[in-house]
Amino acid sequence: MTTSDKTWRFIDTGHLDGPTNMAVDEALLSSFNSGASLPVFRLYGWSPPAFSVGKFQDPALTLDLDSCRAAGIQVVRRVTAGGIIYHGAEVTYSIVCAREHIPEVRAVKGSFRKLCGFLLLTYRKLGLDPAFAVDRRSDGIKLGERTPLCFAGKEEYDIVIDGRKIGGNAQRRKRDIVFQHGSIPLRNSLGEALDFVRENARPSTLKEGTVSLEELQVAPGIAALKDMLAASFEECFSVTLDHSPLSPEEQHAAAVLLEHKYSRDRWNREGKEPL
Amino acid sequence: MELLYTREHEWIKIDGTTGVIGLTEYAVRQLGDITFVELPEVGREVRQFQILSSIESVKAASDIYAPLSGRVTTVNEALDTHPEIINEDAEGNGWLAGIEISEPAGKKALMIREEYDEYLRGLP
Repeated sequence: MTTSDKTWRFIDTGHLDGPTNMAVDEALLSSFNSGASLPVFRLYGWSPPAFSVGKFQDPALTLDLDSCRAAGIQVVRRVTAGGIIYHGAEVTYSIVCAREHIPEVRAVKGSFRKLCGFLLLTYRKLGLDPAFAVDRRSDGIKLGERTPLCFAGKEEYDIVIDGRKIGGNAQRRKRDIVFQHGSIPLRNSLGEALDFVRENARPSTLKEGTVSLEELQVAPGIAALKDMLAASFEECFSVTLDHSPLSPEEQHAAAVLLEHKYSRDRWNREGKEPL
Repeated sequence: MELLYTREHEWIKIDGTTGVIGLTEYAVRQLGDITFVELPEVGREVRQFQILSSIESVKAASDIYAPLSGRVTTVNEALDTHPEIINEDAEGNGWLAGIEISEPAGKKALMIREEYDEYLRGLP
């Protein structure tokens, strides 16, 4: 099966809070039936800003959780791996598909190269020169270090512009289903985020190692950026996106997950599934 | 001693009523550099083909499934500090967990090595 002449669902849920965003992502993943469901491309934003924590992380080691709570900054655990991300001014995407939709997703590294292709295309359309870090190794970029903060380290298939990482992407794999989400930073919010990072967890080169669209003198606006992302997605995967809101079943699943999982310290802080 | 495989690329080495579980070299090549292994709790009951544990590689969290039903009796604690052992020796020192098998009849749903190799050849 090829990716041509295929329809994907396009869901734009607008800005939601962190726990709701992650509940919707998991609802889309858990409702997905690889034999019957259309693959999904979702765009969303975060309001208010929040930290997301990788599935296997202990947020207390990196974040001052009391300060987060006092300031009303939510800390929510993702179902995906990777490090802590501060979601401020950004557009976020998620993808749910099966290997039959994009055969190249079988191997993890190759799948990041394939699935992030639409991001590179979008950045090129904005007049930028993006590349995967692995393809710019000659620039002296150090790769593969596991760091608690997503933006403090670079993996082979992170996207870099002028040697600086832009956004972050992470996956969850369940049998033949691949779920990926990631961010396109409009503005560098690291200054806000660092106030909540424990001093001993603050890397010295964090700001210099990352970049946002605003710092690159590109300001397409959220609506225009979403249109570009959707068009690039269609072009990159030779698919047609069909606007399709969350189904009542998906909304119900998200509401249950929000109440019993993503609003709870048991999951967000301790990483334990609901009882 | 019997060595059997799943379609999700786990192996189980069976000795009487106990089994040792790990990931195949094929699975590990697909995963890439493994950075973290979430080991199952000793004493936990697991069901055949249900989630046993999870593994992190290159910012991907992947589920690992139990080849047979049983109770977890031991885990490879070396993976806590050295998850890369799985990359180096997936089908030996990179084992994940040992179980006391509760339903040996589940073996019928697993593959012997020749069948697994044939299955791999048929993958796109």
